[in-house]
Amino acid sequence: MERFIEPCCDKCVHSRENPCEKFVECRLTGPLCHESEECARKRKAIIEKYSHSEDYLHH
Amino acid sequence: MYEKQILICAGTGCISSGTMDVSEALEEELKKHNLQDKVRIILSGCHGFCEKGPIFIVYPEDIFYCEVTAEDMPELVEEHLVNGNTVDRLLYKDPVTGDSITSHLEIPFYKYQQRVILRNCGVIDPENIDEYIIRGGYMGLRKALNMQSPDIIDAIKSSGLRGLGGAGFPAGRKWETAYKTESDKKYVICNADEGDPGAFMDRSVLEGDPHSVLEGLMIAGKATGSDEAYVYVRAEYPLAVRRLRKAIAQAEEYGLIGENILNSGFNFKINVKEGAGAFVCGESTALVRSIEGKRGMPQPLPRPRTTEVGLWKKPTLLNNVKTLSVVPQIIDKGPDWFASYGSENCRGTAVFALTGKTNRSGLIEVPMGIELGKIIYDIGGGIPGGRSFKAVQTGGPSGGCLPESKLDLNVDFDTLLEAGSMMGSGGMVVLDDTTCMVDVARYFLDFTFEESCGQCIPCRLGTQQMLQVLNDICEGRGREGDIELLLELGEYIIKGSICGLGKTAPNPVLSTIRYFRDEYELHIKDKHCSALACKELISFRIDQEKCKGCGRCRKDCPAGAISGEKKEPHVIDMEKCTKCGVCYENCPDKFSAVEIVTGKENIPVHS
Repeated sequence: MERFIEPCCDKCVHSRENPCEKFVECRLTGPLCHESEECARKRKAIIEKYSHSEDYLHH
Repeated sequence: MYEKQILICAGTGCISSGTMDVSEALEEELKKHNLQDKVRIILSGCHGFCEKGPIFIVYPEDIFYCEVTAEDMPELVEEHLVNGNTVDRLLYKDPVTGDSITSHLEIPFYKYQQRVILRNCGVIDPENIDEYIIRGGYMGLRKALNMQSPDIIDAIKSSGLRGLGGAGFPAGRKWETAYKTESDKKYVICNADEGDPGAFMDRSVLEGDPHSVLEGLMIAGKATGSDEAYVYVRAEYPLAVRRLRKAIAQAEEYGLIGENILNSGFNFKINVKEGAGAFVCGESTALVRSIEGKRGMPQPLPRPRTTEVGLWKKPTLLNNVKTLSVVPQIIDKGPDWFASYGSENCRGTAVFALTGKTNRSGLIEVPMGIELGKIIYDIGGGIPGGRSFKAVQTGGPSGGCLPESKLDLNVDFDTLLEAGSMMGSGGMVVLDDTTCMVDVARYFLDFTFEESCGQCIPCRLGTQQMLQVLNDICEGRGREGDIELLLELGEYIIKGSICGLGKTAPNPVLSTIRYFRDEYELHIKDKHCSALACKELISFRIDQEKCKGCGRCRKDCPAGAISGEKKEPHVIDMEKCTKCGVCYENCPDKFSAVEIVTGKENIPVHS
């Protein structure tokens, strides 16, 4: 999972054709539809990759 | 995880100053030092401080380098990234204090700003939707999709948001009218036809944070019952257009634009329409006609509101770029959050392009109600070169000029109007004592005269007549009664024009007469321009006592207008003199023999 559009595992089914209502918040704090530390870590890795300063996440 | 992240400004200003060369050179240097996997380069949107570009910030330590070049990259990488030393010569040196400043947050230009609309500009990579989402993007849309239209409109109303394109009309009321007008089809339009000379606020938002505008459009669509939007943007903004199109494609890929967005049943399509650059197309009905493929001209009066009869005769909500871009935050963080910024009557913040005679200039964002003087002195650092403040022009060609006595004015839509100027889309040009106010009025009126669509007589011919009178005054043909004539013409144009362009065109003239009438009178009665800006009212003279006949002026004069024997006083032939000023500039300081004189009595003035 390098980008938010990519699924964390096969349980994530969000796509343009089959949209998930909670897609946005799921990418920030998820996964929301299943429990997986590995899937949560993947999301966090993307967020950390881009967070270049302390203020970045304080929006 | 990266050890360092380097933000390089890739707004239009910094790109023209060499950002892409800097980025390329940096990449090469990183490879040489095997740092390419440890250091990330982020090409961000505009930081606002364009005069110091290309801007280059190293995180996490927040070291601000400016005016960097590709040639600086080997030293920057070696010293900063490898050895951990700051490269002092590339730090920002404040022109007021002379201090070198390392963190951009300590630079007065940034320190006194409150960035709400511009919060992502210069912070994220605008071409990366993930960064926008991490910064809270699309959460406003997410919330709006679960709200009823009246609730969204209520939130906008209670936030106090007013249209940031210039007029300051309450946004929520406009949205309500569009919502309540029944129709099988409605549109939302983002007005990005930014045309004021020197203004680049909308361009910066589109270049630096395009997703915020798209999200705002979708929330507006959801609120008013529309499923389609247009962004009307000047074709002269190619970078903004490219980033906008890329953002649309990304949002479509993510399922955030299109059919059944986030499984809500809400569909929304966003189109981009490039305008040909006519200033009048910023007027709502002219803009609508332009999108329809017709000549961009305002619709004659009486005309229905665009919110009732707009694009292809359907109800159309039209908002400015900045207005739409702040909407997602209002929905996400709540109306009270937004209302906590600004003044009693004007909530939120305002974005200005602070330019002209200030020590620091660029794009700034401040709370509504801030004192005018704080913008010019705290953020702008005051007037450079030991000169003094004379006036500030706000609102572009539709605005006016305010004198020193108005520096304590609390800037918002209403106070600026009362003072004879206007907020407009946010142009703010600071003028010093070398500026002739009659000439400034002439410059702005010439702009609106050129940009008049010519449809209505008061605007087409009225501005031409006013311009002729101003030309006469500036060229020494001013007559008694010209000021009264300008006032009368201005009143007729305001009353008789059919659109905002004509109705505001006389403002620069009227405001300069209001505050600088003595300058007009001096021009007319004494043919005197104290700022030495009106060429026809000045001439050059060589003081026969001071001139030692060094011959410098004679040799440098491009018109061959100066004669004299070596070591004898020289003279200027006024028939040949083109008033270029080279003799004045080049006369050695120890002689200072060349004088500029103005007025009927040829009074010498020190420029």
